[in-house]
Amino acid sequence: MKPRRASLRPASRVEDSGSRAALESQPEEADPPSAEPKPSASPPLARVALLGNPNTGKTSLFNRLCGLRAHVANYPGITADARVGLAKVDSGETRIVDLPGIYSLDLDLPESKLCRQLLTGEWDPGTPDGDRPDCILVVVDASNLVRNLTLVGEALGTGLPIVIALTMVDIARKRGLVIDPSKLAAEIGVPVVAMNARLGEGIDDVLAALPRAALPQENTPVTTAISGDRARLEAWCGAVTDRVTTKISTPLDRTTDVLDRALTHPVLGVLAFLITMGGLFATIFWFAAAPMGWIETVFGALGGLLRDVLPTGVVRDLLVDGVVAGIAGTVIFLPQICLLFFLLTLLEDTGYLARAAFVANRLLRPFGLPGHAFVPLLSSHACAIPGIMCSRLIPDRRDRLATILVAPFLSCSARLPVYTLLIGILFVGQPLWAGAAFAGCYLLGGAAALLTALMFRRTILRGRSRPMLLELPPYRLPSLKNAMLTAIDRGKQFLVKAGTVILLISIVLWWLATYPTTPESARVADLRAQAALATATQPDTAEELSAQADHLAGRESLSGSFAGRIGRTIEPVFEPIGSDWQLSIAILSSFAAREVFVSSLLVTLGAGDDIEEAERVRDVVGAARRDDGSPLLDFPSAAALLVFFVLAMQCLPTLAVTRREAGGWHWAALQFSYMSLVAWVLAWITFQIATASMGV
Amino acid sequence: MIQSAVPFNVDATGLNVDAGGSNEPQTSASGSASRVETTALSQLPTGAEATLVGDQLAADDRQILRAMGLTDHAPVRVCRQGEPCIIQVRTTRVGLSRAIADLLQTIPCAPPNETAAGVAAAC
Repeated sequence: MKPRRASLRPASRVEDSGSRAALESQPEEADPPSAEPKPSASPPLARVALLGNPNTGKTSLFNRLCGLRAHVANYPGITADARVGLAKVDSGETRIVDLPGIYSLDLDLPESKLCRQLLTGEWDPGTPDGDRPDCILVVVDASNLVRNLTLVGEALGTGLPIVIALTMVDIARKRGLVIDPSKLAAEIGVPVVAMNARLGEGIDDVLAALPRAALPQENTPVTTAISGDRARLEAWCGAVTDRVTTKISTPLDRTTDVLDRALTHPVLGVLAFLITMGGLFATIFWFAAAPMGWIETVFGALGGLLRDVLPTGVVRDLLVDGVVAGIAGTVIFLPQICLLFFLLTLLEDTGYLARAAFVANRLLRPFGLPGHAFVPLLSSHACAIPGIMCSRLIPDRRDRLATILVAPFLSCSARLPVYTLLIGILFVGQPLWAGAAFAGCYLLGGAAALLTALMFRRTILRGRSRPMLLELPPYRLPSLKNAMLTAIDRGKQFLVKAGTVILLISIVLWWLATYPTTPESARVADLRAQAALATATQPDTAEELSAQADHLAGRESLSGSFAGRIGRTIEPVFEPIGSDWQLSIAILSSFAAREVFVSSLLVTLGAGDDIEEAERVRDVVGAARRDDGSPLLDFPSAAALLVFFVLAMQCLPTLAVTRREAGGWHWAALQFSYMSLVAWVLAWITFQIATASMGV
Repeated sequence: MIQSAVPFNVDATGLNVDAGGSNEPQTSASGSASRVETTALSQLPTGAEATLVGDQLAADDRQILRAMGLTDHAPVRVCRQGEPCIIQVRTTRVGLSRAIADLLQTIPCAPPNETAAGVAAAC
């Protein structure tokens, strides 16, 4: 048994005859001996750590205390974070750090490590001196007192004064348990405040109690318990629970039994799971489409405005094509991310998500992934970025890394324009084959994800799969406010952390595609001269000639740019999968974002990037020729390119998010490397088979 | 206290049981010989009540289980048997994979008339 940790610095204890005032409720009995709480010496408190078991209403309390005045602080190197907010108290503002929900400070889990290091002052978000919190506000679930008191004991073991916020009193009563807060305060010797964060009851009392945070007196049963081993602490928790609890008769909760059996049933459970998840993602697709369109429109208008207002030159190009396009490319993901986390938080609040994890576990465990991975993988079909971000739901580090690494294999919405174009060229007038090819793309991506997950779990992420073990929270109505605050939090996190990287990358790509500038060729000049001559007599023809000149100039400019030169240099890499230099440039630019492929290809072909109708795009690309006069995309090269796009890692924003969530660029580099390699090899095989079967 | 494959005491009943599930007679603290049958959690029927008395889990799994409230002599009720196994520990519901339920040893709560015969412990 692990010995209790010793306090790292002396706790503030003030022998104060008025210390009973620190109790929210006075002890009513002399026996068992009550421990008088001693208030801390230095109110107002600058820093308060919010600690508690999962599902105790800790986040609801934090949201009540701090509202929107909070931000997320990532713990370096691991996928765990703490939210930091400011709470208004009479004497000013107190910084509250909402730690992740944990069962014990002693567990070898990232969340427990984060809590330990914050409470010992080894890590403190935003404070360079790394000082310890002034006190711990421990949220205790009244309906599960024994387990929650164990964490209280561990918190007292850190030597920091504490206040207990007693939540779920109503749920405890429904379960036949009436907890007396005054007795509990007397037993432990610290202030205990009964409250209901969801209804906002007792919040002011909690704030008022913070300056009276206390430690129990020495040589009392509680100090004996926390200085002993775990068994002694658990025994004390059980004894205290018995003494402060009055049991009343309540009927057995059969409704939860029935719901649990149905929702984890091999048939009914899977059905409920498919309906719920189908509804979740259909909602995201439907509701995110409109705001994504608005964002495109707003940024398009902003770019147009800047283009009109600013004089031609580097600054205008940088602002319009670099900064505005880069910000737009980041913000466009925001509706999906916010909606996903809003709906997931609602679902988690209802208590269903924990049950769903068991259903998904049956499907995913053979591939080395846990049930928790289902939501991240499914949401990756909309976009891998929110999918990777919500892999935080996965408790085991190996499971989480495997999920993050394979999530981009699943066909996201950004691949759809490319699929539409290539399948349109492959199966002209064959809707059944085209439909089968679409389905095949999704299946190929799914199979690649599962098989590579299995491969990773047997190689670099080898280790015992942690068996599923989850607390199943009670079914209850979700909190809209909590869901909204979580969605805003995640959105902000994405914009600040990933957005900066994405913006930087977008500017670099713009620079590569723009410089060095190429002087307009004689053919472009000739077209412009013809357009000028025709302006007076044939304005339509003049406009068409002018557009042709612009498109040709764009093609020449891209071809002569650094990106174009790189495209020609790397042509030998893509030649074996059937691509020439024009396709190579488009493939290269699509490594920034897949959807860029179509517009880049059109620019490269001199057709302009503003053709919107899919059929017109298909006609232009289908009619395009290589330097030797052969079709740009024949069946083998189109099929190989399709396979390449299904499997390749062509999304820099996703790599930026992988770096952040997995804990380093090396994971992003690994993801990029193996996905590109798998994509190239399978595209090459496809090209060889298609070429051989067609006798080309 | 729950330990892996190590005999341990069951204070609540005054009986000694073997975590490995063997039913050898043991001597209690009071010196009287008694026999207790332990049953894997996965073998209990839905609705059964029992007391946790031991396990054969890996150390890290055991540590998490304890932190979640599955401690020495914790009373459990089986809400759903199978994959997953859902139990209620005191007032908390916990879902376990069958692999874990197989390794958790319990003493089932016997009906009152059987308790007197010393076949199983009362809860």
